[in-house]
Amino acid sequence: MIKYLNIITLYILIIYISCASESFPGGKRVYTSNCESCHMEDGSGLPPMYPSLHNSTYLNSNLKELPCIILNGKQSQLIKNIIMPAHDFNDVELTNLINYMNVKWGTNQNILLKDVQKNMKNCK
Amino acid sequence: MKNFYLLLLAITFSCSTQPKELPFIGFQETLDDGTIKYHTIPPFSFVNQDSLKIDNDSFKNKIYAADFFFTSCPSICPKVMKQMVRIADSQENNEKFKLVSHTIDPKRDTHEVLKIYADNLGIDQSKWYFLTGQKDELLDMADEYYVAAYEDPTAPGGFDHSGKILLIDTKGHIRAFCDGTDPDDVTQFIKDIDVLMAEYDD
Ligand code: HEC
Repeated sequence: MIKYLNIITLYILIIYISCASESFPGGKRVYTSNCESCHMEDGSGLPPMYPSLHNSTYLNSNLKELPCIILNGKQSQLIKNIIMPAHDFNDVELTNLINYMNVKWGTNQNILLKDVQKNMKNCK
Repeated sequence: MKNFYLLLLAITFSCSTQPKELPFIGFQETLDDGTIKYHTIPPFSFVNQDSLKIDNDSFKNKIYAADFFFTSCPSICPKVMKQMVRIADSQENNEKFKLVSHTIDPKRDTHEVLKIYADNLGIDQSKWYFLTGQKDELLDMADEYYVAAYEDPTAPGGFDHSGKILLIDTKGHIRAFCDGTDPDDVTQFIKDIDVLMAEYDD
């Protein structure tokens, strides 16, 4: 029986480690508590009202504008009642969040803190 | 060790077997003659996304899934709505099945807004009604479905409510429910629809 317990413990440990070692756990936390309700855990959203983030232009050619969209929020162009809220994130939270989304659903390139800081300055 | 495996086997089977019948959910009364009166959705009359009157007769001989939401809801609603779409897709060919989503924010969710919302979901609107009406009547109706829904200025979006989805039989009794924010729970709910449908097989 002890032998089995060891195997089970090892198994749980492996699962735990492989789950915990996901890229950008800090960014994931920010995503889960602030974005998941509308864009879903897997980023698929409920399109077209709640856009999917998979290969969104904001994770690609428009990446520079992403910090401002997240900070300012956005009113739905389809139903004015639907409003993506403004978010009060600091530069580190924002960088982790963007990197998390970029690895999961974007071009997989890592964004640097200083670039996010620069883009944050350009927000209206 | 052999017993251990037997136990595992027993657990596996006890989880996968379907109940043959769904329970009756909610308050129930035993009448003087001994018959049991189950909780029943009372008469209602609301307006749908096409500005048509929808009442109990609209669900005659139908079973339906019901939920409560509002379009400006910043918290759980999109998740629940996504699961409602999943339920609708699973019953695409079931002519006995309907869905109803009640807004709890009729001031902002007029039938025009609900129409745009339904259009954008791309669902079969002959089977799925989005209802609006008097606010107190909608909130009272939420109580009848055991969905806690209250106006609360401190809650995100101004309303606090649960993401429950309920299954109603042809007689207006609640027969199953699930947490619409939990896809696994919704999977079970879809199986429950089949169990309820079996009651109407001739
Ligand atoms: C209350 C729901 C809601 C929440 C919460 C929310 N969003 Fe949004 N988001 C929307 C809606 C609605 C749009 C589309 C607005 C429009 O019609 O242009 C949108 C658009 C976007 C876009 C642009 C997508 C595109 O390709 O057009 C991005 C990127 C985005 N959101 C990221 C986020 C992130 C990151 C978070 C969390 C910090 C977040 N959203 C939280 C509702 C939400």
